[in-house]
Amino acid sequence: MRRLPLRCRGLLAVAARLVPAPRRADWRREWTSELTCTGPRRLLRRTLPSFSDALAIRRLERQQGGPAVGAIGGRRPLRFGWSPLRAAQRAARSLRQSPVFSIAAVLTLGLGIGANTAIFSFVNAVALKPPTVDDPGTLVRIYTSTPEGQPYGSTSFLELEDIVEQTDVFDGVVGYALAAGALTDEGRIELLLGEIVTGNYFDVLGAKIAMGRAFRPEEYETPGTHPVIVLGHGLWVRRFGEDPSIVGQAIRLNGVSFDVIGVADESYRGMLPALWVDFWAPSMMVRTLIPDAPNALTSRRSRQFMVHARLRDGVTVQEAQAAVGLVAARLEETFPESNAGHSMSVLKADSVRLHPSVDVWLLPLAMAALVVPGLVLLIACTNLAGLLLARATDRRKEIAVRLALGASRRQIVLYLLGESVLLSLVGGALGVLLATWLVRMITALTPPVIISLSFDVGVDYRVLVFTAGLSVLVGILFGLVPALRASKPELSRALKDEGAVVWRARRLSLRNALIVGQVAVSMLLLLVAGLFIRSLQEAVNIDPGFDTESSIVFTMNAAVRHDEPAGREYYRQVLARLNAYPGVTGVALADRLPLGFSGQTMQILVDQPRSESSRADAERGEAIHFARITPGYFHTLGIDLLAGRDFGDLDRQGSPPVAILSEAGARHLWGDENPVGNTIRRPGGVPLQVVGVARDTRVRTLGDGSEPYLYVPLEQSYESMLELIIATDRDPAAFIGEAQEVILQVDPDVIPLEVMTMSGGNAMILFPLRMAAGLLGGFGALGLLLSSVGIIGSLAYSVSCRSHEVGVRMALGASPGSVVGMVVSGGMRLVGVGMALGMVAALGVGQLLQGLLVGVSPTDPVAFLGVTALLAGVALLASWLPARRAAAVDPLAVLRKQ
Amino acid sequence: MVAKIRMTHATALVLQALSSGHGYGFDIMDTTGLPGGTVYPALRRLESAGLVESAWEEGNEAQLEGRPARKYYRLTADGETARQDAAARFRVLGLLEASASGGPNS
Repeated sequence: MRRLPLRCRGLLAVAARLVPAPRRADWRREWTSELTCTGPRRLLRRTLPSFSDALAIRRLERQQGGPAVGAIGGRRPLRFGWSPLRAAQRAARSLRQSPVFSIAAVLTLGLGIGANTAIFSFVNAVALKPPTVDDPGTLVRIYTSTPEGQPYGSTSFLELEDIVEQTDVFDGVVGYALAAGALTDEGRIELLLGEIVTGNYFDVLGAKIAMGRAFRPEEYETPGTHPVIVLGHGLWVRRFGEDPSIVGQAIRLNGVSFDVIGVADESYRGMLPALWVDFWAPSMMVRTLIPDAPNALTSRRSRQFMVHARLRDGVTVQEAQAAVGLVAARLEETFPESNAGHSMSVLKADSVRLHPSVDVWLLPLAMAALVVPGLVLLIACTNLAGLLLARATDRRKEIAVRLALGASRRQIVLYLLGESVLLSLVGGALGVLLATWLVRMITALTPPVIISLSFDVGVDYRVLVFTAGLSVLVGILFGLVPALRASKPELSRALKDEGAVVWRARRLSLRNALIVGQVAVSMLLLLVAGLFIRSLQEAVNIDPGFDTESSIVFTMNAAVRHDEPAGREYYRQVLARLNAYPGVTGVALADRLPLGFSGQTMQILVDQPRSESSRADAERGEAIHFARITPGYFHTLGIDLLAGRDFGDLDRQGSPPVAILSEAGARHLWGDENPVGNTIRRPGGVPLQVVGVARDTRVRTLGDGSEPYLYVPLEQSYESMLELIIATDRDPAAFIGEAQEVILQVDPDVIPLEVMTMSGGNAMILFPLRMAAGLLGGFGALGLLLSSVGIIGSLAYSVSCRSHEVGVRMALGASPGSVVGMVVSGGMRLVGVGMALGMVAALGVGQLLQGLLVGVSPTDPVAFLGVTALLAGVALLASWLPARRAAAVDPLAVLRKQ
Repeated sequence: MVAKIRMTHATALVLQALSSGHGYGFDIMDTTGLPGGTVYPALRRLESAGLVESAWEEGNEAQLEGRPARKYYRLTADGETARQDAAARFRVLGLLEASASGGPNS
């Protein structure tokens, strides 16, 4: 095929630039064809008419305000409407031209959106993601109410069987109870979270088994005879390295050997949100796995089971409720001593998340958790809005040209919004990556819990939809105001390149407001974080009233192997052996430890009431926290005895009941009188003689004041599940192994359920505070970083706008120092306003958080001063950087530019 | 879209050339003797006014001749009406059909 000479092609290419872009290719093709056929002679002269042709097309199109011709047989007629693809292409092109801005924006958004996505992943796991059961629409939950007014309580095994036998509205009724099992292998102990379940559990719920099988009928018929177990997928991966040969092997749980018969499918994680259940065992193994409820299978009072049922075809929830209500009524009549006042209610399973009474505040709480990252995102947004405003001012000319060429304002706004949404979508994608990493970090923070938990928190479609929605929203949020502003410039000024040079304070007031807002929000975040960090400091310094450094604690349950008399004997032997062991300086048992979160109370009658209020208490008794302990408890924990004596070997079963009061308890009951020898009476119980007074300890949490506390001897009131406290003069953590050996020598089948050093236990007490301080501190730091970037960007921009003014000032004799001062003080004025606003907000929020703070007031001066200094320092630095640039302006160069 | 256009002598010549089967730019230039800077803008105006439409040459004729495909122009119905009006006004157009090449000087 003939080709045009290079020069002709060059001329055509130049002329083609004159043709409006949509028609350019077509036009060029036509001319190439025309010229190719005319032969070489006069070709150059003939190429030139193409210019007048190109100009003619251009003129026509401008006259008609659109494409002059819908070419026939050539390209499709152009659509001038808005299409997402074109908008994205245009936005991408425009953003590629300013890579620094784009990268800064994407990073900012990625951080902000990532923080939100991470927290939302938790909210999703806890409050939104349903358990993966078959056909949740036909599944219901059945609750038994308590006479005390809890409408949604658990159900006993016998009641569950009654429901199965006495109703015909269900296709299957499933019961499950949470259980803890200590997995032992080669001396290592790991406490696992499991469910003991009725045999039809997997069938009725539709939970799949990946390997092996579910339970066989004979395995859930006779108590204690078939120790079989199905492993959770999480445990199988975590502990057994996905070894398929585990099915058929045995593992030891709570000292009993269980045959592994199957591994659950990855899709089924148990009925708890956010956590993987580690194992499932038949309900007949309840004695081993829930040792504190030995009568769970035989007593109607022992209500351990949560109940789910599958509705028979065509049965409504109301009909099921009627049938179950009938059963409950019949039970109340037949077994008044166990069932009086217990009714049953049926709820649709998918209407319940954790528990009906918890669900009420679960979602609000989850939403509240999103507030903090939401604030960080708000900072990121204002940051970007500021950047976009600056960018829009820079692009006034481009936008003015577009408007002059006939673009409508709507088109311009959509074009600019396209850019910001594209930015935030890319930022959102980055955010998802960041979030998966953040989630891993946050779940890794959790270990000081006794049970090894597998968190089922991750990115699923809900999280992705949330993030995508959030990104679009954010893109519009921060893009709309700048876009609206940019799309109505004063055309003639913008085209003449004016305006940008003239500094007009009023015009940039929106930018100022953005800085103030950012600073206010960071101030709020930092102050709240500061309060929690101060709480943490205070909490670490609080004297809990006992020695936390030199002891270790084993949680024991003798009921796994021994009934009461044997259990008493077992514990006596453990104490004796440990007492004799070198390195042990004290050993004791207690059923409650100070700072143990959970408390138990007994009712006491006050003998010699001192005031009117306690006289009224005297009528019906008064609740007091108490613990069962063995002699040596006070010595082991380093708690001083202030008066009287410790318990001794003579305080045993059958001897007169005795008690030791805490200082606060003694003061509460008898004022300054010496209580030793006084008697504490109990409604319906034997009176206790006070034999001693012990110094106060914190009872449940570090935030508690000194509360009355009562100690009674374990020998006079047996309990099988106990904390074994061993004080040592060696390194407690290193001593655990030796101590455990000594314990197992007494009975290798009584496995400690849990072991930790006392200081480790205290770390657990501090964990919520640590978590709050860490997360809030992290978000606060992120907010600070983002808003200082915002300050720098915003001031740098205004400085570049004011370079002319600065040049004039310097030409007239202003020193670089005074220029720096001018810029910095301008910036700091805004920062000051923002900080004041943030402080006011923090005072309000602090009042709400008062209950969560330990040892500091919501107006803690250290936190307020520290945060103020920090933020002011960072802001000063952020203003100084652009100020330095302003001072470096060469007045001559600026003036010459005019 | 049919818009009124200013019917100059040159435009009328282009219409006449198209009507007699001269379908592309250089052909019209050769037939009418008008310079390219007149013919092409006239074609654009006519096309945009709806008197003329264009289409790319189909089939493999161009390929056989070893040249790129041409863009051909032809009169629309409105274009034919306009040509007849113009022919009534500019008698000289009739001459075009007689002369094979060269044509009258405008």
